[in-house]
Amino acid sequence: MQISLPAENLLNALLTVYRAVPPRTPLPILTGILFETKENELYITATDLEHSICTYVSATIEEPGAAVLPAREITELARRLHDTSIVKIQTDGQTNTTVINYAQSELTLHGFSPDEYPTMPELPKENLINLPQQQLRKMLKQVLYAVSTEEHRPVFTGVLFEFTNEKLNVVATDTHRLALRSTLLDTQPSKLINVIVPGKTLNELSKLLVKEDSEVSIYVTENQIFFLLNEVQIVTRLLAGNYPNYNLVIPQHTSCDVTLDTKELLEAVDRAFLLSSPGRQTVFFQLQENTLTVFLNAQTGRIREDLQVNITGDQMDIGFNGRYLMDALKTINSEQLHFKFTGPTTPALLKPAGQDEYISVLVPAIPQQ
Amino acid sequence: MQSRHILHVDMDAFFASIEQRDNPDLRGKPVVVGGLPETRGVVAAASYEARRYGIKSAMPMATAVRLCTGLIIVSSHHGRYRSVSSQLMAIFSDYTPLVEPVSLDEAYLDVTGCTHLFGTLKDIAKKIQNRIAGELQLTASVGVGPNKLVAKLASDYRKPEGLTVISPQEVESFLANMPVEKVWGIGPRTCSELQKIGVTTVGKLQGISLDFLMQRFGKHGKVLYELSRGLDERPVITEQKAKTMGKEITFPKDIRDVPRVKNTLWELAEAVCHRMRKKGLVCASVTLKLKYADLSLITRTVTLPRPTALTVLVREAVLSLLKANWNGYPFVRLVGISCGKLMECGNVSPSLFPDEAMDKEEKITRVTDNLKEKFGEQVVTSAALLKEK
Repeated sequence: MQISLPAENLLNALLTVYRAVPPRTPLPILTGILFETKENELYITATDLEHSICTYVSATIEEPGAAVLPAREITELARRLHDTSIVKIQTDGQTNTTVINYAQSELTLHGFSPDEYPTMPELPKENLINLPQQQLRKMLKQVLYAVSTEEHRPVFTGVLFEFTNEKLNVVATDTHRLALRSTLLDTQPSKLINVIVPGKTLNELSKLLVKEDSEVSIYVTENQIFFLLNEVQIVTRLLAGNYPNYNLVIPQHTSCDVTLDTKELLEAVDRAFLLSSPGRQTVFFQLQENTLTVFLNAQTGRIREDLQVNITGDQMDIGFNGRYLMDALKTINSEQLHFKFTGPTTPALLKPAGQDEYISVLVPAIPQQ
Repeated sequence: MQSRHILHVDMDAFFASIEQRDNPDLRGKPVVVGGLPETRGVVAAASYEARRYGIKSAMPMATAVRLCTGLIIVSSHHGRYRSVSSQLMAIFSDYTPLVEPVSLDEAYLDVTGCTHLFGTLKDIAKKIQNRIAGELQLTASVGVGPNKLVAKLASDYRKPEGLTVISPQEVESFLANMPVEKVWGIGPRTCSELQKIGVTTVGKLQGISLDFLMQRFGKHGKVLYELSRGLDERPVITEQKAKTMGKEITFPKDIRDVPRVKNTLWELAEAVCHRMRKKGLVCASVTLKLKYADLSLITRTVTLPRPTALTVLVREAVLSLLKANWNGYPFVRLVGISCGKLMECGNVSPSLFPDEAMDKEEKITRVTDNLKEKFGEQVVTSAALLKEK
């Protein structure tokens, strides 16, 4: 293989796929990045076998071929080169040795054999649906915070994508909180299915969903999901298992409804949380008349803030994990929010005022017996 | 910093004295508390009669028996020592709120400003000794000094029933004849380094310049310089939060019996977890400790997916560490478990989608903990841990 391209283009492509390189792996070849030429383009791919990211960039192909180069070294080199300089990459297919020329200098890297690199799954013929990138990005932002990081119940480390004829619901929960975001679909999906997509991959995907007025195309097979956007293709394994019926835990009847300013509440909770410690993260609310009092008593001191709000229903005292509460409040994208309570020990519901497509459910913190 | 008055109270042969107090037959005789020599026990405490034979705490029991024929070995009654210790700490707290327990039988008291209430420093120390003698029928040695370093050395100066008061003016001369290894902060390694340059007493150390010490010992040199002059700014800390909680056991004989090692770890996990639950704590990491027959020691730590005090989860963690590090070879002498990153369990959010197995485990744990609370630790255990009688 012999190619040349501007350093800046090489770096951008490397940074895109680098997210899929596993930090630790028993398979040394996975610490490499696959370079392949196709017509006038250079395709580069990284994978940790769970998920893969592939992108392409135009390059001058003098001699077609393939190579697997050590990911860290090639990426860090590209980062250190001047944007405009032209990089020439020349691989000896016999020895898997690659010489990289830039300006008057050269670097030799010992790589791996491209034949041993895992093959990427094939894109299905028919796509499931196209969505505007911005729309998917906003949806993911509103649910990803609720994804669980605990491996012992794997389905909760993923996000449920539920396609119906007219709607897409995305749901995430770590069993202490739940976020549900729906959106109406302009076009019908090619099949009506539910899939659970690993939260880790979606986190990386959402960082790549940057283009305005551009779409992301989604393809699904029996055990994989593909996202195609701009020049990038992300594939990930779907999580096996049944997602529990989340509708059962969304409160239907509430006993106390509060409408208040989102930013005011977030700031009050943020200040109260200053006094929290690793074992004491609960921020308390006292709901009375037209006042919501946010308070936290700790060894280091105490804080109390009164917010003027609109309350209908029972008065009550209730506590929430402050971190969870702030995570949820940050996803409310309207000035006012509805905070609906069902009781001091049962789940509460948060909703942006005047919008029906987003719900966040939060379980109160109750003292351990 | 304002000049301070620190007391160090150290009970004389605490465990052994309690045994002698409660059993008149043992009085005046060489008594040690600890495990039997056949089970590789060590001396936890030795009465003054036993010390005359050269028996010291932490010595293997087998050695102790060799040193003194007719030595009486009493197995330890930890619960009793603990309750005497809390009576002791209660006495201290009548004099100052600033009490730092070092162990069951030893504490630092900051009595700065208490002289207006209780008389001179010597009076306070005397009063405490008298109350210990009157209420607990035990003796203590007390050291008084301007800081913890000096107070500790002073309590050790005359024992038993000693009372040594060192005023700030006397500190340097008091220290001068101390062997360096007696000073807190000078361990065996520093000690042998010091010996190489001919320093055996604190007095000789006082004669060495700061520059030389810094050059030879780096940062620690400054510490040595200050220690030798009796300078120690460490405050008396009343409440020290436990950072880890653990338990270990030495087998009577080295073993390579995998099921037995596993069951032992299970028992240790239950003991440690029960202690955490009683204190309302949860741990976020678990450490396995293995000592092989050749005395080499390994420790391996794993972070838990979420903080817990449930025995099953801690047991699973420690057993997976065992599996990864030991396959029945070589012989094992000691196993231990230590739970780290402790925090208060505080408030919990119930689960929206309960994990039934975990819920059941929590309920069982609550029931067995209640039983243990009422009827003692031995009343209930897992069937797998039952031993043939």
